[in-house]
Amino acid sequence: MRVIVQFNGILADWVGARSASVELQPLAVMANLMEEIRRRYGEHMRDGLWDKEKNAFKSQIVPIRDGEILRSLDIPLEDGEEIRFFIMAGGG
Amino acid sequence: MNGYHGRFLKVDLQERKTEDLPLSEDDLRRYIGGATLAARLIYDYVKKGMDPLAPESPLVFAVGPLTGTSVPMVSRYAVAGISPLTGYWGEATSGGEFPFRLKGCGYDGILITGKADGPVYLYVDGGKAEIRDAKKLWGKDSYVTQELIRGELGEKGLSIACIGQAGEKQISYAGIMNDNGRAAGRCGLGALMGSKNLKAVALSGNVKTDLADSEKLRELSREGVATIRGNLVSVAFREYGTLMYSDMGMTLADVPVKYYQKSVFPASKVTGQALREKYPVENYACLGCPVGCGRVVKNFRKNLDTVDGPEYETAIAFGPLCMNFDLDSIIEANHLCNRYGMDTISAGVSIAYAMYLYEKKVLTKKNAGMEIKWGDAKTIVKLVKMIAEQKGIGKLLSQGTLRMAREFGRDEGEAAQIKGLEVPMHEGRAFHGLAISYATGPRGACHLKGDYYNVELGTAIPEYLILPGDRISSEGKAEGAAKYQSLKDLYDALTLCKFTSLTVTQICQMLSAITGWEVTPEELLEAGDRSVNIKRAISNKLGLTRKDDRLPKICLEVLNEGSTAGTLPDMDLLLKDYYSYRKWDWETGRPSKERLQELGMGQIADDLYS
Repeated sequence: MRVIVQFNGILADWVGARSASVELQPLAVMANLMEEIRRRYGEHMRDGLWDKEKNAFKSQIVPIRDGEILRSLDIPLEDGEEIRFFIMAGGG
Repeated sequence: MNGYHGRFLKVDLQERKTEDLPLSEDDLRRYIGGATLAARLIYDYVKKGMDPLAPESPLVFAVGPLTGTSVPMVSRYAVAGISPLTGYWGEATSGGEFPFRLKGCGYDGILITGKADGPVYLYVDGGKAEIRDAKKLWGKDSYVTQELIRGELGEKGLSIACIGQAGEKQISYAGIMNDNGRAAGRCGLGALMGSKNLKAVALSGNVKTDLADSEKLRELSREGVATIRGNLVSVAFREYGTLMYSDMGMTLADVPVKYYQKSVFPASKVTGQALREKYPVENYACLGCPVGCGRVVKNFRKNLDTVDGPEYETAIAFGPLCMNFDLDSIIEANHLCNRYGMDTISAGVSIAYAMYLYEKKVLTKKNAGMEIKWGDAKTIVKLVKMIAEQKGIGKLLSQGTLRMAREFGRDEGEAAQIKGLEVPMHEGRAFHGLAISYATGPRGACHLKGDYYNVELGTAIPEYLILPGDRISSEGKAEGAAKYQSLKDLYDALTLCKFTSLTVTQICQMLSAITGWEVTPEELLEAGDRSVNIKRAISNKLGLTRKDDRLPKICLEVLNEGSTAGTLPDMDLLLKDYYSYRKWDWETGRPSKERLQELGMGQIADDLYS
């Protein structure tokens, strides 16, 4: 299956990509997507973005799907959906 | 006394008299400082039916025990009084250099009563206070006022808070400006200052307080700076300011659009990134802040090369809320509000309500004297000027949405305000924890106490078991929201910037090192609860009841677009749970006598229930 990821705002500069189409195995979950992001962008990513223990972005980077905040790495993904990543900055 | 000077400067403008007001360590430990200590002092002045603009109505500027120390992000001050906009407890905060200078004057705050017989300003230099003539400053905008005072007193080590023409005219949402474009905008405290003929407060001095353990504090501050610098959010704020949220906010349906009737808009046009792409933008920081979220826009236009801001709240209020996506007009409107000294949130919401009324044909070209169409950038800028100058329809808009609704005999639920204070640029429909914070906030609709959206986005407070959950569920949400509200209320006592990433444990350690008290997270939360309750008691004395703890109807209509389409917070459930946590009386809306006594507020309990 394929999901679209978008890195919004300053995150695009920090990751080194604005958007990407990511091919994943059927029944993939968020952890699989994170692993693929690490594989593609990990080497050139800004320091401090990645939580090595969790093998995922740090908690200040928030993945959102259709308005749903995806906190768990066990969340199943669907073919064709879009996951947007934002820096957790709650306005003024 | 460690961390405090142990005294306020008390100023009676009527008598042109200044004196020291000593503070007991017991009161300081219970009410900490800033807005909370201000509330304790103001409480004794409050009488039922009190006119906020009466000479005896007090105005307080205050800082907390952290300000003036090496702790990062503590150059904040609170200004407090009875709000001319709401008639209840009013407070606003701002940063810059002014808070450091206030502490440096040798006082923990200034309490002002009376009305001068002509325009004056207060000058305090290292403990010496002087009431000076301000006739030549009257009628001047906030930037010119500060420049003229600097010309009179000299630049070095001087910091000024002042009102513009809006405060002089006692516009109900006039704010107080300091350090050029910094604003203590909310609740109309600039009008209270204007009613006293007090144009400005100018401060200089570098008096330090004693510290219980200065070495420990230095070590904790170093760690604190490292925590803040290492936080990705701080780095992002430095780059794009608070306005970077608009994109994410829209995804979460947290940005009010078209006067709270929509949640979808072309977000890429109104973001921190768009601002940076269009203009050269420079950062500035409050004293001792490693973040620097402040923005200065360069090369703005002819005759106005450099302007302040705008930050998120302002950009949304004059932008998507009015269906306006033109950055130039947003910057211009922000600049005008700064010059005249007005709250950008209340001004933007009032203009958006005028657009709403125009669409409904309540306001017409004939009765308004002009067209007020959605998204008309020129009209927004023109209306800001008309509000400040009290011209035409601007005079009505300057009174806020509640008085606008009453003027036209509209359903008051149409007015986007809570307790008279206009609703900020976050959505209770998008975060149910925010909905209950809005409904019960000490000063009315307040996005800062508490900013529960930050919890749901991932900012857990483990010390109080405040954890992210389902943002659009009301079940079991109120207790965490109430605790978070207490904590954030206490930030304005300490006085600590809300963008800090210091943990509660770090804050306790720092406060302990400063004061010598052994402050635990439990004591800190109790002080936060006390803070919410003293402010509540003031508003209760002024007539506030449970009926005022509600969101306006316009903010509780079901949206048919965006990620919260078809959902609403369960306000009855939230309010019942909130009252239960607070131990507030369901019938009267007052803190129960028992709760006040538990919090060591027996005197307040006796007075409130006398």
